[in-house]
Amino acid sequence: MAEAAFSEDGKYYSIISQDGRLRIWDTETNVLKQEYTPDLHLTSPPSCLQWISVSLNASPQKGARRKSISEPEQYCIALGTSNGNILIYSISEAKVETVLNQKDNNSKMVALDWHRKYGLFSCTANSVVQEWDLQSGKTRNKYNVKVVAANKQGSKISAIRIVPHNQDTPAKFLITASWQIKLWRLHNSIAVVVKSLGHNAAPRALLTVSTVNKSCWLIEGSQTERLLSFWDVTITEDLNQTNQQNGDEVTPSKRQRKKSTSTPAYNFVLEDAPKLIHLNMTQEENSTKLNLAAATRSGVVHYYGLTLNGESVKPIKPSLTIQVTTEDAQPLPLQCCWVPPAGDLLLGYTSGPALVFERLVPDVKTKTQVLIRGERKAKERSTKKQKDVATTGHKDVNYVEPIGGVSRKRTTPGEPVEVSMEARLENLTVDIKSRSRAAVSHNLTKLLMQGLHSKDKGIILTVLQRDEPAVAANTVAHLPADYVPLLLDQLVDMATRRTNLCAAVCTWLDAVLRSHAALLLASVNSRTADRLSHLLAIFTHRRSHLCQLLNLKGRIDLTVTQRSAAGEHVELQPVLDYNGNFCCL
Amino acid sequence: MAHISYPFKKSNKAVFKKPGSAITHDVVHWKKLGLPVLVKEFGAIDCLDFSPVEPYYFAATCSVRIQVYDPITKVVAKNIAKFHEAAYGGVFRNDGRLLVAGSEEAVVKVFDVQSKNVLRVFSGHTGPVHRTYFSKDQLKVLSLSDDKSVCLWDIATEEKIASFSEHTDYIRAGAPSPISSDIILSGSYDHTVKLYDARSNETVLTVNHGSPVESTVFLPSGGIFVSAGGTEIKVWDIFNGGKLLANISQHHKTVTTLRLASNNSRLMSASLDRHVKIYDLSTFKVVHNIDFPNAVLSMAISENDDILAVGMIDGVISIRKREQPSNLQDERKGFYKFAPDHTKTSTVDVVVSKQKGVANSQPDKFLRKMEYTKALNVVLNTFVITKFPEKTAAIIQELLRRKVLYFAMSGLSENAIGVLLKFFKKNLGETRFTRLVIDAANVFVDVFENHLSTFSEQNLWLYTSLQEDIKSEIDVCKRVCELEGAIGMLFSSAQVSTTCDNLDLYDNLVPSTKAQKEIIIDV
Repeated sequence: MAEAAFSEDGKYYSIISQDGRLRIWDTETNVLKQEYTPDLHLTSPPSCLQWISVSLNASPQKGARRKSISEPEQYCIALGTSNGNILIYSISEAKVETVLNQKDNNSKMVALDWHRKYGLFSCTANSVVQEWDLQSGKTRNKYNVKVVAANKQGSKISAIRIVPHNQDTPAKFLITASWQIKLWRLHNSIAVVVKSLGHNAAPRALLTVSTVNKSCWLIEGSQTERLLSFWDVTITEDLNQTNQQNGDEVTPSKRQRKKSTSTPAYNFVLEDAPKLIHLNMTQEENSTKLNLAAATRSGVVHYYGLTLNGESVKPIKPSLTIQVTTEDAQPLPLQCCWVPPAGDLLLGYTSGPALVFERLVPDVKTKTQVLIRGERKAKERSTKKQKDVATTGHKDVNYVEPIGGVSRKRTTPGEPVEVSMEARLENLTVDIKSRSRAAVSHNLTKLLMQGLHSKDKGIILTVLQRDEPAVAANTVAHLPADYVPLLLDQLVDMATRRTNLCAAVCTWLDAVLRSHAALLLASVNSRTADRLSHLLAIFTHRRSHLCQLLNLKGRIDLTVTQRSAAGEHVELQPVLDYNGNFCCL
Repeated sequence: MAHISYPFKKSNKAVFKKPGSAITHDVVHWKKLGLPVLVKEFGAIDCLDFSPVEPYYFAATCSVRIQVYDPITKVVAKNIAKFHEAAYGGVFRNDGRLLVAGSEEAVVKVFDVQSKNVLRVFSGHTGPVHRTYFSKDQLKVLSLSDDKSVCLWDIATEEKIASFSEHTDYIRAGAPSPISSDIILSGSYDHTVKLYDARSNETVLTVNHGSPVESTVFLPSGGIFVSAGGTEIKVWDIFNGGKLLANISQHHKTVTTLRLASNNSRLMSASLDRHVKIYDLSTFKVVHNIDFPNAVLSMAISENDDILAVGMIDGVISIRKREQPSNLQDERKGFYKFAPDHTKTSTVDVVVSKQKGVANSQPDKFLRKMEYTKALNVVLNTFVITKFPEKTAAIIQELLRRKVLYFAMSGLSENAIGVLLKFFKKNLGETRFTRLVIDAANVFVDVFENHLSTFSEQNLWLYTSLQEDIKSEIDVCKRVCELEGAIGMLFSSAQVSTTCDNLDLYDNLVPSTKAQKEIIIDV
C-alpha cells in the first residue's frame, strides 16, 4: 500500500491527499501537473495507489502486453478505493480509463502491487488477493491469504509486494504484511505460506522489493518503528519444491529454516518512523551495492550507502541525513525521496503550499547535510531588481554543519568579489580628526569606570586631570549611578592635594553636582553624605586661607614691581650725595 | 600541667567551619527580625500600610474590608467593613487618624480610624480604584483608577481638584511627591510612568518602564522615583529629565510592591517569586533576601525596621517583629560641623594612639644647639622636600614658633633659597601645609625683599612663578567657595524633605452629608 509514490522513472510523484484527491507533481519542473478528484471521493476515498504502465494499443489480446516493452507505453495510476473498486487513471489523458470492480464483494482495497511480468495484484480488507486482467477488467485468480491469528487485528493485511523470480514455474510469489510478514506461493487459486519473515510492530507497513540478478531483497518498515529491516527473499528451487510436496501445512523442517532466516540481514535505524522508502541496488563487479533513502515523519531524509557483505546484527546508521531549512532556521519538512540509478538523490519538500523537488548528490563525508532554501518568491523579486546578481535555487546553497561547523558558502561566478585590500587597509587606519567628541567622552566614561572599579590610581588620574568642563560634564553624565560614590571618594582624596588637582576636583565635582543632584539628594542618609561633608570640610579649610593668600599676593606683587621698577632706574644718579663727617665724641 | 617547653596545643575547630557567605551589617540587621507570626485573612492581601504614629497599627486591605492590626498582639484592633465590593489600597494619613481606601465600586472613601465612620466619599471615577494616597500636605487625596484616570480630591470640600486621563490602560500604581503636594506620579499597565503637576494641569514627565507597572515609590528627596513592573525595578532621575539611573533585575517573577526601609537608605521589593529583596540605595545592589512560603502581593515595614508585615496571595499575613530595637544611628561619625543637622554623630572624633619615643634626628640636634640656619639647611634639599615634605614643614613650624625663622632664613645660601622656593611652590596647594607656607613666605618676603636683585636667574624665576601659583590658588579658592555654597544647598534641601510638617490637628472629625447617607450594614 502507498498513499504516495514515485513513478517508475521518477519523473512523476503522486500523492493521495487527505480529502481523497489525487495530485500528480512533475519532479523536473516542480509544477503540479494534474489534480484528479474521483467520484465519491469523500464517502469512498482512494486508499492506495500504484503506478502501472500499459501499452498504448488497447488491443484485447493478452500477449500483446508482454511484447510491448519496446513499444511506447503510457503511465497509469491504479487507485484502490475504499468501496472495493480499482480505478485506472491515465496520466496522458488525465482521466479514468477503466474501472475494475469486484463482482462478489465490495470490501475496502488496502493494497495494490504491479509487476511488468505478473500484472496487477490487489488485496482487500478481508484478506483476499486478486489477480487482475487489465485488458478485460476481470479477476483472473483469487487467493485467500487469511492468517489465523490470536487477535483479530493481527490478521489484517496492510501491504503486499510481488516477488519476482526466475524459477521455471507458473506460480507467483507474494509478500503480505500484517502483524506478521509472510511469503506466499500462489498457484491455481491456492495460496501457501512459504516463509515467515518475522514480525511487524504496527498495523501499517511499508514494503519495498528490489532485485539484482537472481537475488531479491525486501525492505520493510512499519509506521511506528524507527527501524527498517532488510530481508533476503530470493526464491530458490527448494522453496518451490518443498511447498509443492507439503501443501499448505507448515512443516517442522521449514520451521528450522525459518529460524535461520527469521532475523533480517540488516537493520537500518531512523530518526523517526519512515514515511516513504526507496531502494536501488546495483551490481558492481562482484559486490552488490545498496542505495537506500527513507523519508521520515519528522521531515528528514536518511540516505544509506552500503555494500552487501553477509549479515549484520548491529543496526546500521544513516551515512547521511538531509534536512531543509529556510534562512531564518524554519524547517521545511522533506516529504519524499527517490534514488535514481545514476547515484544522486531526488528529494521533495514542502515550501508553503507547493512541493519543491530537487536533485542532490549525497555528500557522504559529513553526517548531516542541511540545505538552506530561502523564500522563493522573495528571491525572484530581488532578481528582478538587480539583474546582475544571478540567484537560483542551486547556486546559493549554504552547507551548514550543525555542531560547531562553519557555514561554507559556495562562491558563484556572478557574485561580487570580496572587499579589496585597499578598502581593508583604509578601514584599519585611524582617522583621529573625524572622531566625534561624544565618542571620546564615552570612552573616558569607560576608562573612569574601569579605574574606579580596579582602584587604579594611574587610570583615574588620567581621566580626572582633564580640567575641561565640557568633557567632565559629558563623562559624568554617562557614569552609572553606583560609580558616583566611588568617584566622590577619589575627589575627596584629590581635594587636599596640589592646586591644579584641586582645580580639576572643582571641575569634576561641579559636573557631578549638576548631573547627579537627585542621586546625591536621595542618598543624604548614607555614606555618600559623609563624603560630601568631608569635601565640604576640606573646601572650608581651603578657602579659610583666602585672606592670607591675598595679603601674601599683595606683598609679593609689590616686591616684584619694586624690583622691576628698580631695574628701570639703575642708571639714575643719586639726587643728593652727602658726605658727612663723623665725629667721635 | 604541661611542661613549659611543650605548651598545650588547643584543638582547632576553625578549619571545619562551613564556608558561609560573608556576614555584613545588613545580614545581621535583617536576621534580627524574629520568627514570623501568620494571620489568615479572606482573600488575597491587596495592600498593607503602617500607621506612622504609636503604637504603629497596620491596615491590611483584603476582600471587602480593611483590618487594622495591632502588631504587638497580632490581633485585629479595628475592622472597617463599609464596602459593597472589594476594597483596595487602604493607606493611613501621617497623623494616623484618617485612612483612605478605594474600592471596586469606583468610589474613594476616607475613614476615621478611631470611630470607623465614613468621613468623606469621593465619587466620580467610572472604574475600580486600586490605589489611593494622601498628598504631602495631608489635605488632598490622590486616587488611581482602572478608568485610566488619576484624580486629586480636596478633603475639606469633597471636590475634584484635578484629573488626568492620559494613560491608555489600567492605572495600578502611583505616589504623591514627598516634597510638593502638587506633584503626582502614576504608573500604568500601558508600561508608562507619568509625572503630573496639578498647578499647571499637565504632564511633566513620561518614562517608559517596558512592562506593566505594578508599583512606584518616590525617594524622600523627591528627585528620584523607582518603578517596578515585570521582573525589573527601574530608578529614574526627575531632575535630569527622566534619565534611567539604574535597572535592577533580581527577581524572576513580577515584582508587586516597593517600600523604603532603614531610614530611607534601603529599598525593599516583594515579588510573586516568594522573595523579598533589600537593596542599598546608593549602589542598587542586593544586600539581603528574605524568603516567604507563597507569592507576595503586598508588604509594609514600620519605622526603624521594627515590624515587617508581608501579605501573600493565599490571604496569609506574615508579621515579623524585631527582638531588640535597631541601632541604625550608631554608625555615624565625624565631621559633625559640616554634617546636616539631622545626622547624629558619636562623641569621639579620632583616637590618638600613644607615640613612641624616637631618636633625636639631625635637625633636632641643631635646634638644641640653637644653630637655626644649619637646622634649616639640613631639611632643605631636593630629596627631603620631595619625599618627606613633612620634615621640612615641621622644622619651619618649629622655627616659626620660636620666632627665629627670620634669622634662619637670612643665613641661607643661594642654593638653599632655591630649594625653599621650590618647597613653597610645591606645597602651597596641599591643604595640610598651606597655612605654614603662607606664614613662611611672609617671613621670606620680609627677609629678602631688598635682596631680590641679588638672586640668581633661577631663583628669580621661581619667585615669580610662586606669585603665579598664589594667583591660581586664589582662583581655586573662589571656585571652592562657589561649590561650598552648592553642597550646602544640597544638604539644606535634603534636610527639609525629612522634617515633618506640623499639621494643626482638629478634633472634630465630622462626616460630610454625602458620607452620612452612605449606610452599609456589616453582615
